Amino acid sequence: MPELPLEQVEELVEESVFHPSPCKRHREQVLKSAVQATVRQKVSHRMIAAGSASILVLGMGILLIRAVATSRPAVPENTPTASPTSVEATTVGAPATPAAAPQHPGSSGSLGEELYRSSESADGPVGHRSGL
Amino acid sequence: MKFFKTKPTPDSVKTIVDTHDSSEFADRVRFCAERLAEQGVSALGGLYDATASRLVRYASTLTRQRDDAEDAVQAALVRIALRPGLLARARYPWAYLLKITRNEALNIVRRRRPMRSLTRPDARIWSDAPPHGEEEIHQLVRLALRKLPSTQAEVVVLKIWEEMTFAEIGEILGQSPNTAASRYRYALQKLSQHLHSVVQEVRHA
Repeated sequence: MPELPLEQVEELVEESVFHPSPCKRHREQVLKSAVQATVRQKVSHRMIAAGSASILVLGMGILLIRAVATSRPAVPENTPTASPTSVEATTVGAPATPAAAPQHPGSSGSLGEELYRSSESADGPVGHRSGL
Repeated sequence: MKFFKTKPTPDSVKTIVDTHDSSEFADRVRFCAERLAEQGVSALGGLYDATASRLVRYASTLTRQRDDAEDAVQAALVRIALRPGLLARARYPWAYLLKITRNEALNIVRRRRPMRSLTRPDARIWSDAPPHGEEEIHQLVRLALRKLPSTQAEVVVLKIWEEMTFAEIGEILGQSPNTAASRYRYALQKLSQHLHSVVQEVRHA
């Protein structure tokens, strides 16, 4: 198949160069969309900055609240209302709790022994009398 | 990506980049890019006026559709407007701009490929005037160029119309200079076969 010399092909292509002119509205569209994109970019940057700043403030607030909360239990120990004398007064002067009821001197055994002992004490005078 | 690095290299080191001959057009693009970086989006019009025609021409090599090519150029320039410093700091802003446009064009081609199979090729690409005489030959050459695979056609466009070296073309395409050169050679051979009879016919007519 006959062919053109490559140099001639290069010349032909070089001569065939053309300069397309984009449509008139294209320039306006490009500039408009570029302006819109830059505005959007600025807004998003500011939003990101504001968001990160608020997260930072929130985090610092949480840390501050935690610090205050952990230091609060130590405060009552230093107050005068929590003095050892008052604690002592309450323990000595208030034996009225049911759990702290005074036990019988010989109540170290079982419930049966207790019953036996109580009946024994009740029968005591009788036995004494029967012993007569 | 040696081609677009902004880090200065010693003068004694000969790299691929050093083979680039700075043209008047490339200097103009650099000036527009620096002005864009200084003044912001208000200076984008200058860059558009300087480059839009060439960018649309190159993008249409890939998209085969004029509208898609314009969309690719728009997306590329918007991208540049968002980060103008990148273009201003690039070693060769024109090549950088071509690469961004190429990426956008390929994205558009990927997204719209299923749709385009149903539509006719755009007749407005590379042929604005009615053909007669030499212009007819030129139009036939453009038509033959359009029939090449886009990977070969873009090498021809970058080499002949944008006057770039194979090293630069290789960097823009993400291929080696040898690959770019072989694609160029294949493309010219195909064009040669196709154009021989056509040119003879037109010249004898």
